[in-house]
Amino acid sequence: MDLDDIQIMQRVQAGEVELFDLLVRRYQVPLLNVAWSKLGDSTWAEDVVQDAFLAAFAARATFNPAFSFRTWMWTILLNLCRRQWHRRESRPREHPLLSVAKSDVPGWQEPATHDTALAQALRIERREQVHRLLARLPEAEADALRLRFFGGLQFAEIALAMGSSLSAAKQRVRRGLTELAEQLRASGGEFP
Amino acid sequence: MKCDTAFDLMTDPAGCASAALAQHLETCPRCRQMRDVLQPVLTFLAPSEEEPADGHSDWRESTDSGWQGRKPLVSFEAVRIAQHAAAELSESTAGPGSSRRSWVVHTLRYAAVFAAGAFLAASVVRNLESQPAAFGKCMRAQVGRQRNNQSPAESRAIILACVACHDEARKQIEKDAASIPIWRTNRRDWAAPIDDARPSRNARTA
Repeated sequence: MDLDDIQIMQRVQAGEVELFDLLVRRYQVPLLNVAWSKLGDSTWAEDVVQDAFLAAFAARATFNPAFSFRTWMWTILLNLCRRQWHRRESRPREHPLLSVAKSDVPGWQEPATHDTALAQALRIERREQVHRLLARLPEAEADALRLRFFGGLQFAEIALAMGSSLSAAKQRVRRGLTELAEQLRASGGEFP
Repeated sequence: MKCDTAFDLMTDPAGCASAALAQHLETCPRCRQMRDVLQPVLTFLAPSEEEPADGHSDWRESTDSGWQGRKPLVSFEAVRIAQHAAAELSESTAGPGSSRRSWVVHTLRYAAVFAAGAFLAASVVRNLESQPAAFGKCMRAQVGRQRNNQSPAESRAIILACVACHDEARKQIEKDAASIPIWRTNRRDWAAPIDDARPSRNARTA
């Protein structure tokens, strides 16, 4: 069934609630990636993503076709991540690189194509490296990069999700990329 | 293509290989330099080809296997966050008319605050000016516009008007007003204490 987000949500609002599964499948992995990158804990990330979907479903009557479902979900996710982080601030942050098993990386699935264990391990390492570097950036810039590169959001959507202007969203992405490029140059061409 | 659009395409995994971007980079050294600087990072952040772009896992299976045992119910706060986000997005995306109305509303608010402040300031100034001084109308506002060459009588009048507001000093000033040497009224050091050692008026004029 090839329906866009608005069509699905309109039918969900009309009573075909089972169609919400399509949206969950569509956005689950990107949301998990961003949540895990922000929170550094796979359990928290899954809780937050589950909360985000359930909250969107419970508040489906407030959905307005004027804005995109994707932007709405990202806005909900960012706010829930912030709330989760403040709630568990006293709990030591689990370093995503040191303690998580490869199979626990949220959203990680068995490769759909024929793949070697080495290639998969390299992908895992690279993903962890990306998240580690993003955690070093200022939160606004890191979130903007996550939404742009993990969520695939357009700059206008990033601005709406983060409550900023369009130019501010672009500046955050530009600054984040520039800082990462500086780290690369400082480390002699290899990311630390 | 504008440089801003070029940046959009550069940071878009789907648009970074577009012909339009390549053409712009050939003609724009600034964007070309930016691309060279950011390319390693863009490659680093881009999703690898083997990873699925969308989630293909079954929501129910993930719920049963991965999230089983954790809280299944959504919190009221989470729903409130979702509703608040929907309301804000609706307001933000209501169209150009809405943004124009918001701009007008904000402008009117600022104008109203400014007008209220100006009215209040004017009222305060009027009150100050209307307060009767013990020795006539307060000439404080005119002091700044006084020239150095002013007659002794004018200077004395200004002095008396300024100090008229100080009740405790008023009587003393009344007493001293007649004894202020003429030579001091030509200077701006009215607040300085009167030095009895200075030559008297009669000695100066002599």
